[in-house]
Amino acid sequence: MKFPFAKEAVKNLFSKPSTENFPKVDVPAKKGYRGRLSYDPDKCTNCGLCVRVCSPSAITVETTVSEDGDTEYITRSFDMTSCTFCQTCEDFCDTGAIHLTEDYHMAVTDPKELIITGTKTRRKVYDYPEKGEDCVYCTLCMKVCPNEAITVDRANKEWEIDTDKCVQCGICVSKCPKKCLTM
Amino acid sequence: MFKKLIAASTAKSPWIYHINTGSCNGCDIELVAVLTPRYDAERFGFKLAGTPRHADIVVVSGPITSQSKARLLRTLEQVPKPFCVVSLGSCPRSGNVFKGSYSVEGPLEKYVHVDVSVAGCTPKPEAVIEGLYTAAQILKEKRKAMAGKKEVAES
Amino acid sequence: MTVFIQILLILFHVLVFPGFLFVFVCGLLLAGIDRKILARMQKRVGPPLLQPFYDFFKLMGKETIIPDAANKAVYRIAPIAGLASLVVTMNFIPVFSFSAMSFSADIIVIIYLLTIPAVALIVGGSASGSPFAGVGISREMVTMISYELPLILILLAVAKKAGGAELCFSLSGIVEWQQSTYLGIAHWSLIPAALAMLLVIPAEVGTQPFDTAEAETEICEGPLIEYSGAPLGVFKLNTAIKMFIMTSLFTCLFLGGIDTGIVALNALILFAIDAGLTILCMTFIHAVTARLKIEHLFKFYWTIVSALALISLILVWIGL
Repeated sequence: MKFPFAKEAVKNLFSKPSTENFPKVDVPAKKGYRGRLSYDPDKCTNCGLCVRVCSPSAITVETTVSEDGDTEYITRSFDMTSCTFCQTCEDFCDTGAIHLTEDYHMAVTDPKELIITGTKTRRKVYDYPEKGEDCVYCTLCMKVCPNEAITVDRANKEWEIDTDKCVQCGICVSKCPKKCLTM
Repeated sequence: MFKKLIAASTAKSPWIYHINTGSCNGCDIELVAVLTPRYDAERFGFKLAGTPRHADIVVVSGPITSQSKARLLRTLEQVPKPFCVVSLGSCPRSGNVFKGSYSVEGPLEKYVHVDVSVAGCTPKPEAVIEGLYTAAQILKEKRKAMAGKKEVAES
Repeated sequence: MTVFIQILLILFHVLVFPGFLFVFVCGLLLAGIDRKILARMQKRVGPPLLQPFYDFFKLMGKETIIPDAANKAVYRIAPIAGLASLVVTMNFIPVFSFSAMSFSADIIVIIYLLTIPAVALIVGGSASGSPFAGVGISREMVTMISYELPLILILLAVAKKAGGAELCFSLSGIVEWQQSTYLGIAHWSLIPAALAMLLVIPAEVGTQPFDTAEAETEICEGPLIEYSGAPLGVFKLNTAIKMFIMTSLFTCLFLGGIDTGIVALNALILFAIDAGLTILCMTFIHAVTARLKIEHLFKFYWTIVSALALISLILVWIGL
């Protein structure tokens, strides 16, 4: 009959326990831990990529326009009670408006504290990208558009933009290799 | 005379019963990790009970699947009052990636009032300890309320 | 008038010292020491020493739900019967030189009284009306049978050694014999019996590795599965009191030669020795072993432990 743990049990009795002193002393998470989300509305371009790539559909957008039609209020809500903390939204966000911090203290009694919102205010613009003369119909703008607002027909040399879907994020303008799109 | 003693003891010795209603087991692993030497929840009096009749805090993890819904409701009826419900992770709150599936029966809030929710997928053991500690304080308030109501009913 | 004082004295012995209040405090403190030292052996901090007190008072405040299939009267009376028999047992065990109700046939009464808490658990479990409880009580019955045999052999051995030609069945008589010669354990023929008693104590209390009856993870706490609230609190209290009574019995049989004059000091020394014994035979064995199957438990008690007790009995009988 062997008792392999006996010597260690007696030794542990006289040594310090290895418990971390949690509630009294705050223990920081390791570097790179994916915790509570933080959203910076000023950096956001409202491209809508984060909404498309979020797997549990935890991100919702609501847009309202002021009475005089001049300012647009775009409110984005991130629902932490539905989030998987996969960081895909941060990876796809071009401007770095979304960042998962190292804050893991998310035990709450009221679930409304777990919904993170941010409102972006901007002047409502009514202009949309226009194609210039040098377009070669490479279809790159169609591929990078997050809302599929541009349709390009290579064979028939047609380019059209759906103004309802365009959110004026400017990705197509920056990605065009001939720099022929203007907004 | 004993009421204050009983109310104070209720916050210091909460026994936990864990129900897994179809979860991926990640949150279950973090819950039992809370009882290991590194995070040691037993110093606050937490103990895993073997049967729902001994439980004070019911910890639910997983989106409520159709197969487990009936068992969950039956188990919750067997827990003696006062008790608290803690939802672990984001699955019981909204279904996380499983929402809209044909066999997921919706958030836990539909069936029972959830006292504490610990968000995270999965939450860190320290966050679980925080959630359980908050639930123990809420339990003390519930016990005081129960004692007050009994007094009013008797008088 | 003297009858009135006698009744008052008996009530004092049963309710305060060494009756209900004394065993309540000492038993729960021993249970707390057991949990704390177990935690330290596992390299963690562990619950505070007064944790079993908090558990008991919390259970007093919970609602009691009695299932439909249960027998209501038996469900409620079973734990109280166990508690009553344990309190009366403590009155027979002398606290070194002070003893409340000791008379000439102590040991025989104690053997019967100590079976009552285990039977109360069995009866309470069967009154619950649950199949898990049924499995639990059958295991508890087998455990009872396994440890009763060595216990009786040990008590016979000590009684014969203390009394000589006529067996001395009185516990205070055994303590006096130890005080006149030397400590019981110093007689070398009683050492196997002491070892056997150290192994009987965990089985009687129901702590690992012999807690097959109340296996938490396998049969959802066995006989106690449908208990909640105050009856459950009393059952847990019974377990804690049993720890104190069994270790006090060991002290009285084998370590009873010490005596200071004051009763309070004697009680403190008894508690200190009991704490040491608890750590040695209950906590340490709990920390290093796993749970046994019921067949192995039965075999262990009826071969090894009974053999130790039998060796002691034979040595004592042939006069050594």
